[in-house]
Amino acid sequence: MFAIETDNLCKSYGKSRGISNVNLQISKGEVFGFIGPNGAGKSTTIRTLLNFIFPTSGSGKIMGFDCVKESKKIKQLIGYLPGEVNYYDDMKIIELFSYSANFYKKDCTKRINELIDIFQVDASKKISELSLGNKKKVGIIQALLHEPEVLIFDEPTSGLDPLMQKSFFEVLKDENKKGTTIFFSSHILSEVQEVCNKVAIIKEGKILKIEEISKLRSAQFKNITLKFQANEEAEFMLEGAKNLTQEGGCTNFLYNGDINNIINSLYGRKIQNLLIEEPSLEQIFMHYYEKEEN
Amino acid sequence: MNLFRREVKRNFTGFVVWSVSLCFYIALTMSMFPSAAKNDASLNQFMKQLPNSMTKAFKLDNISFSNILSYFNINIGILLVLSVGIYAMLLGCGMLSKELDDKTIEFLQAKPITRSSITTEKILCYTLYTFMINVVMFIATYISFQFFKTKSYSLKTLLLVYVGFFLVEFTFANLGLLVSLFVKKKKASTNISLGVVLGMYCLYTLSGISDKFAFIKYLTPFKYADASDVIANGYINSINIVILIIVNVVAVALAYFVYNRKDIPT
Repeated sequence: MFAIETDNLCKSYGKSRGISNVNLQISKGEVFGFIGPNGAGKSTTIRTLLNFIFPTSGSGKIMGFDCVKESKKIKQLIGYLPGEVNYYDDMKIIELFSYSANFYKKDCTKRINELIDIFQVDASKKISELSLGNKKKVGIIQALLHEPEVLIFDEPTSGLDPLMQKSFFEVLKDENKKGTTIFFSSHILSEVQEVCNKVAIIKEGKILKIEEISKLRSAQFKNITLKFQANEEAEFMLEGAKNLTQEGGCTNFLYNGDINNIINSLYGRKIQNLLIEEPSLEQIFMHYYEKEEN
Repeated sequence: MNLFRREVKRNFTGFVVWSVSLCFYIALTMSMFPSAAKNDASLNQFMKQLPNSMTKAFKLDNISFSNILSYFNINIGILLVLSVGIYAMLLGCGMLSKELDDKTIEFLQAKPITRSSITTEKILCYTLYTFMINVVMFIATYISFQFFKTKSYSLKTLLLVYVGFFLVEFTFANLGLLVSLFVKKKKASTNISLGVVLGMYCLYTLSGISDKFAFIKYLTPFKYADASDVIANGYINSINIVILIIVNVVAVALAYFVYNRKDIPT
């Protein structure tokens, strides 16, 4: 049995938005990243799994329970953080936590206090007084406090400062060690790489690729930008360079091979600047598009 | 019942404010009853000078200021059923429209609670408050009657008047719930709720003006438990009650049906 499974899940609404034939299989204990640009269908997939919206066709299961018919059983087992955190303005943080905990019919006081410590939240504050980042923290605690078996996070890190992101990922790793399955969406590949075993890339409602992180790493492209000094010949060629563009003395390309090859070919030439970066998500998508077309 | 408790707590202040102000109005208006009763003859003389259509529209025909129940109905009852009707419809409407508009519905629906239970617990909350506000109003009215009555009256009739009020207001509450499922914005659904209650009241008034408009009365809940009829007859027409109950059952069933199939908007 998979922790999360979808079978040709489709949801169409509006004109262009929606998802079509999404097939995901996430094993228990896996940390699964769901990557795509804004509007690609990440939230739609999650919202369908949680039965906020009804699938047009296909089906989804969480821990073996049907996402439409057995939604209540699913909710008992999951913790969810929405992309946009919206809570009751009239409540204090601690009231929200106990309200949330009461739905699960178990005592979560100990875990709540632990999480409050980790995320440094002032629980006596009113929800309406919170900044976006603090609201997100409250959302994360709210999703974790009943110690769920499956965690579903929609863009969890947006709005968190780097330090908080770090503690958040630590918590995720701890949760995962306990056997918790984690499914989270993001539009930033690097943050997914850090914690995930597997990623799915989605664009325009369709899954482009599902890949284990280790494989993605070995097939990892670097985005390389070169600028030669003014008196140096700007011509540059290298075997294996993709999408090579040259403009005003600047050379830009994607490179998948041994970095030493670049260093060797540059030896003796006068360089003003050399950038070796992670490619943007768009560039990776382009790569997968090209593969698909071939 | 976690959600029910939360809703009861959240709406308590509103309940107290409405109750206190309406109780105050009841007590104040009833305190003027003894002097009105004393001037019954001259007031009746004055009423006769009013245009016939006007007295009919505002149900001022066949009343006696010395009858405490008629006095109550004219000076308090109409305003009461109208105000509590608005209160009930806003309450019913606010139950889901607030969660939908503030997007807290995502929090709620990620918890182990079915959509039907959400609907049920919210209905229970506004049923409780619509019922309780009538209990409070009834007690306030009863106490004022004991204080200011000039002769004995039928307590049973007063009770029936309130049963009628409750049925009408509860109908509005259920219609409010239904409105909130079709109108996305809280502000819009609040305005629609106000419009519906006031519009229904206008129809009710219109139906009294002329026999030509008499058919309209079947469209407005106010007519089905008309306090002036209850006071005149001493009972509520049972067919009217049946019709009101059917309207309520249909509205509630439709609310469950719609919400159980509704896509939560982003």
